[in-house]
Amino acid sequence: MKPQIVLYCCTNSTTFSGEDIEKRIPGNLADFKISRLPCSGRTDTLYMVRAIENGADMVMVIACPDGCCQFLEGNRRARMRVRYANRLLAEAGIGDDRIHMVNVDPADDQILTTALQKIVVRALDMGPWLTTSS
Amino acid sequence: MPKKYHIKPTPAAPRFIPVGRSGIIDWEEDCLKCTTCVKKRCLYDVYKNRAYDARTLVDSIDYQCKNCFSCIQNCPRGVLSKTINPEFLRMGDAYWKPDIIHNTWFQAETGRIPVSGAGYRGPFSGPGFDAMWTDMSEIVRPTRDGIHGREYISTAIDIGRKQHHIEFDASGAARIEMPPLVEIPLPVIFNPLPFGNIGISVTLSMAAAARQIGGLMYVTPETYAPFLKPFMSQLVPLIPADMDVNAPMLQGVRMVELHYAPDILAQVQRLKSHCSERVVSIRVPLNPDAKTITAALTRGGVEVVHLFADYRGNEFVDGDSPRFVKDALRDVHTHLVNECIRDEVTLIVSGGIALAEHLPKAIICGADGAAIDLPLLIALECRVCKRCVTGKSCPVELQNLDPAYGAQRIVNLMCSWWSQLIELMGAMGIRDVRRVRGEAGRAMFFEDLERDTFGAIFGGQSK
Repeated sequence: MKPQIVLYCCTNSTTFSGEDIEKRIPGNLADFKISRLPCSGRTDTLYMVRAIENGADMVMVIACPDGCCQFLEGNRRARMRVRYANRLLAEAGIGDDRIHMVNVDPADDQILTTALQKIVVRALDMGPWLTTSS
Repeated sequence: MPKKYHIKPTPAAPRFIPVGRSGIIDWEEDCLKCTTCVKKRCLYDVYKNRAYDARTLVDSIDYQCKNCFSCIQNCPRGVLSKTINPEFLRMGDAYWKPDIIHNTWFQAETGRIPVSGAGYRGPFSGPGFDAMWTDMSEIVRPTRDGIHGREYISTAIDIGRKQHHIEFDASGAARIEMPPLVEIPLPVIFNPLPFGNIGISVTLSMAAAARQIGGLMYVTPETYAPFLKPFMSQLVPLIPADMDVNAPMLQGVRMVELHYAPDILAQVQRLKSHCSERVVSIRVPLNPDAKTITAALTRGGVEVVHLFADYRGNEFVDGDSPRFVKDALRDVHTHLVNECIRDEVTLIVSGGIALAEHLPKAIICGADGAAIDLPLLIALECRVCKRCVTGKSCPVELQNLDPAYGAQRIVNLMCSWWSQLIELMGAMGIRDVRRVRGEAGRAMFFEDLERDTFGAIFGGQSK
């Protein structure tokens, strides 16, 4: 079964679509779900944890580069929340590397491609956290 | 006095959290935990009722928020800010805008007229139907006690051929046979959906809603199935001209519609000779030739002509600048009026009818009634993402829709449209929707105003 990956994407940093992902990650290795947000600071801890709870293997928050947030500090807060959510997952025994974050510079498209490739590899390495007993 | 027509709405909450307009950003780490928390004082309890659907990745607060800005302004620490949800802006397309979708969802959920009066809502004119304003000339004939009072405002129309004149013989008896008429209480017919008809539940919802409001629904041979048999009096089969007259889908229907073809009059005769009590309509694509075709069909004795544009309301024409449905329709209507044959034929129009106000505007431009498609689908929570077109899964699982629930959503939408239609007619001082047809003198068209006002100054540069 392919890993399920949820992307919380700040609409100011990148406006890519599902088709773009297929171009960046050829081979259809994972199922991506994209949620576009007005700012990465909108990403609540609850969003990330609920996405994992709902069956996602990995979550990635895509934010603007440091100092470039339209809401001034949304990306800094998102990073804090990612750290906190990972801690909660670790406490629950799911691991502390299920939620990633990347700061994407709109001028450098390669950063996002690399981050997406990395998270797919990591998801395949870790395998699903939710295993159904047979 | 006959019983007043009324549609009863019943609130039908959405099955999935709808994508909302607002995007609230919360710096919750900075919260003072003070005793005057604006989240607890929200008039609409949006923070209390907040829910996050991790499957569709939608937060309920974006849809429930009424944009009063009370929380944003009154938080002592200023931790809240507000912007527009990018997922909302991505919905629909250039014609079926997010506001139209959002508006339709509200009407399908509540059956109420949406009210949007907060702040400056943008320019007062725009493309398409927005370039047309209805004239609220209630001073001509004010209502005695409101639109829901004793005076009956009729929204019924007769579909069929109207006689130009009646001849009597020496004994005083009429010499002609009156052609059949189909009366519907609301000038709306349900059109086949351009996409999104996934599964029988959508078709069943539409058919059940058509029965509840006493309306009609087109059905194609592809979507017709035996489960539609209880709804035969509501169905209008949309069939190829050479279809067998004994086909099961033609039994028990009051009206049929044929696709236009050059020898269509012979086919109409064939159908009429089989069953003269059935109204036969011809579906003609809206293009520059539509007016001559419609006039020829009318002279040939055709009862109903259905002029259809594409689902964005543009006529079918090669080139970059197709006319919008309102302009093309006015052209056809005016041509028929000039030929003195307009009253003999019923004109149905479809394509681009997206909001309640578009219905009277289309009627003012010359239609007797309108056929609608996408608003019905949006009422069933469709997000106009068109994933179904490419075979992908539907985000709101239309294939699992309960037909009774779907029918109620459509009935609610029609209730809201009906309310808005009689509001408008009450304000215009018109008591019958049949009288609204072609009343272009009661409307203002932006292009005409612009030409009249600035044409003399800018000359040839002004359109």
